Amino acid sequence: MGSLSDAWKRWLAENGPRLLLFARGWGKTREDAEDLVQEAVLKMWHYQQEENRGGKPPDLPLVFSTIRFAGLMLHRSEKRRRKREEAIVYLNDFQDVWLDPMMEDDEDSVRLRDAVQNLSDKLREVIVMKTWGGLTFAQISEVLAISPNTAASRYRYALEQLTQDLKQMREERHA
Amino acid sequence: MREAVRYEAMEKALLRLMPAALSETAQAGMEAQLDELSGSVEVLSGDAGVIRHGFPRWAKWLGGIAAAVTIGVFAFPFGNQESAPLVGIAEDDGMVVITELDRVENVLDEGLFVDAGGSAVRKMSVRVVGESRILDEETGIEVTLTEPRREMVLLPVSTF
Repeated sequence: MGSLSDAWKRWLAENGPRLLLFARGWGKTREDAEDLVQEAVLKMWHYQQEENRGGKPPDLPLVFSTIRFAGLMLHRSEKRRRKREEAIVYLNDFQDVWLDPMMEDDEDSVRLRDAVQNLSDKLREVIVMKTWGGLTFAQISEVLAISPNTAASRYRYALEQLTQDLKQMREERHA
Repeated sequence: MREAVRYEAMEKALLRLMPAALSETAQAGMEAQLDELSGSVEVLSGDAGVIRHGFPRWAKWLGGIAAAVTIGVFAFPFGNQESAPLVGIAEDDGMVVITELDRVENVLDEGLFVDAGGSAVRKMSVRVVGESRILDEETGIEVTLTEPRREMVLLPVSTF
């Protein structure tokens, strides 16, 4: 069983960041997102131990689906909790970023990162799954229960919006 | 076509962004969880960063008890024996003994003997199984330990 555990650890090391990125769309904080990833990994472990699956690490689309489901559950419980705690003000952690530019002085990348974070949930999850998850539109459509055409449309629309946002940010910078 | 080129540029720009890694704590917590699930390592609850390799915590002193019982049986094969001090061992490691029970499985009359004082005694061989239910308060795991042992009982004989 040790080798199975090692295989899962390697899988986690390889895919953890992209799962975390996807989970960020559902968790309020990084810790929430990490909890979602952990919950998904746990569920996937048990799922993969069932007959005929051999216990090996799962395919990414399935994990994205699981994170999404866990995120929806979290979102629902968060909404209920917020109603109870309306007086509490949450502060943003401005150092807490979802994506890291490869080069720190790459200003466009920093702006693009902000633009990705500001995309609507529907567009962002498609961009994340396609760009960093490496999923096909068919796989994305299964995760989101939409048609592949809708997934492709959302992707193109997201790219269009990011292009516009980036252009606008550049203009504001030079104004 | 022009649109495709523009998208391609954006896709390339996106790929220059790397997803942030899981925090060390989260990564370690998940790896420990995977170890625990695979049965090779136990996670100490409440401290995701600390893991203990090997068997579950109760297995450690389970082995100790087994060794103690084995030593007891072989060192004193024909003497009266006391049961192994399960309570002491368990409580030392944060375990709680819920119940302890001695069950007599078999009694064998081995005949009459004369003891060191010259008195006649009947030697009875009794097979006893000690059963202890122990709770690990940290994990909530309940373990039942069975400890088979043989005891020799010497009964004074006054009539023949």
